[in-house]
Amino acid sequence: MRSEQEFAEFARARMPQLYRSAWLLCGDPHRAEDLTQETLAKVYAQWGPRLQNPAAYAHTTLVRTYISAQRRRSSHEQPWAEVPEGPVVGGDDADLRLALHAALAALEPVDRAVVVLRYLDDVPVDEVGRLLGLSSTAVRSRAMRALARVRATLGHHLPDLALS
Amino acid sequence: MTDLTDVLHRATDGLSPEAPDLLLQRAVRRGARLRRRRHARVATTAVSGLAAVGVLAVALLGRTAPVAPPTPVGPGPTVASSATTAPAPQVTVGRGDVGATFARIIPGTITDEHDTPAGKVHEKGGYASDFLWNGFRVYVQIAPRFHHGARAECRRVTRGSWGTETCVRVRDGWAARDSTMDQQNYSRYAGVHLDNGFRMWVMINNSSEEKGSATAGPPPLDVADLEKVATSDLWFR
Repeated sequence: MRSEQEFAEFARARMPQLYRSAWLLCGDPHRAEDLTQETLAKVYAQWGPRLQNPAAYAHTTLVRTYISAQRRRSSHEQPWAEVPEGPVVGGDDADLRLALHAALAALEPVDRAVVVLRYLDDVPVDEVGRLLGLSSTAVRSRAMRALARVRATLGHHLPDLALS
Repeated sequence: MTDLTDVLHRATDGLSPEAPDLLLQRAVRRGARLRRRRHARVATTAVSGLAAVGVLAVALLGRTAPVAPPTPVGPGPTVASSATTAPAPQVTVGRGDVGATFARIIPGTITDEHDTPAGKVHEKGGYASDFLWNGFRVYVQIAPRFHHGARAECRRVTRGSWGTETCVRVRDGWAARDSTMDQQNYSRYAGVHLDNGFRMWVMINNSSEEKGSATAGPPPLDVADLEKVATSDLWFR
């Protein structure tokens, strides 16, 4: 049995990580909060003894909710056709965040999800494919393509960014 | 893995929502609503499935059993059917009268009443209605007969979904109760599986529309009030 108190503890513990992924996926803090909130709401709706691994379920829900929202194309930005010149990446976290946003904004939503899952959350390729409904080959291909585009924006400042 | 991993971690390190407690509170509120919808959907599907089985059984019997010729009515003692089998309960409140019936149980001003889509519930003789009671949005769904028994049906709907939810014996039925229901500031509901085979859902929101802005305070009716409505004799005969 899991109580509401246990859900609150789980949510508080997982919220920062969920929010960080949401922040990278959505590109702005308000939509990231909305995505985090919707994710936790869906976890709450399923909360109970049958929910074996709430952390994994929350992770999956976050990504799928994001992809689903993007497919609805209701209120989100389009990928940029031309990558704008990014700000200089220095030691300042704010500059780094701006640069990263500029780089991620150039990606399609699914590619952005691939980047976040592979490089922030360190999810195995097969699992990324399962989450996004892609083959492993497609995940690798998208990861490489996305990495190349991110590198085009950040690469000057991150010369060691590898295509692995 | 790569420097990108470091960049992603550096860029997001220390990020967190502005108001985590508020976010959590809203997530719980929204999650509770999702859960209620799922319960209502499960119950509706079960009713539809049972109805389909019933229709199939009738069709099969109709094809295999010979039709008895009509028996002429002769003299002799007659026994009222109610003496052997109780008549099946029927909903006595017509569509459009749900708000008025609600107000007979809990007095208040009823406005803006209309039918609400309720899937198969409509096709099987049930219905759903919503209206404003003293400015608060109220939703009432009367679902047709089920065949598992009120207690079993209540347990089936609540099973495994939430640790704090239990089935409680109430007047003429079994109610699915969540220990947090009376603490909800947004909406409250009663789901009662009646001994007569019907299921009543009664919900009240503290807004005038389902997704509208909240009114000043929490819903003025508690779960006991809503269960009083759900178990009232006024709905059936």
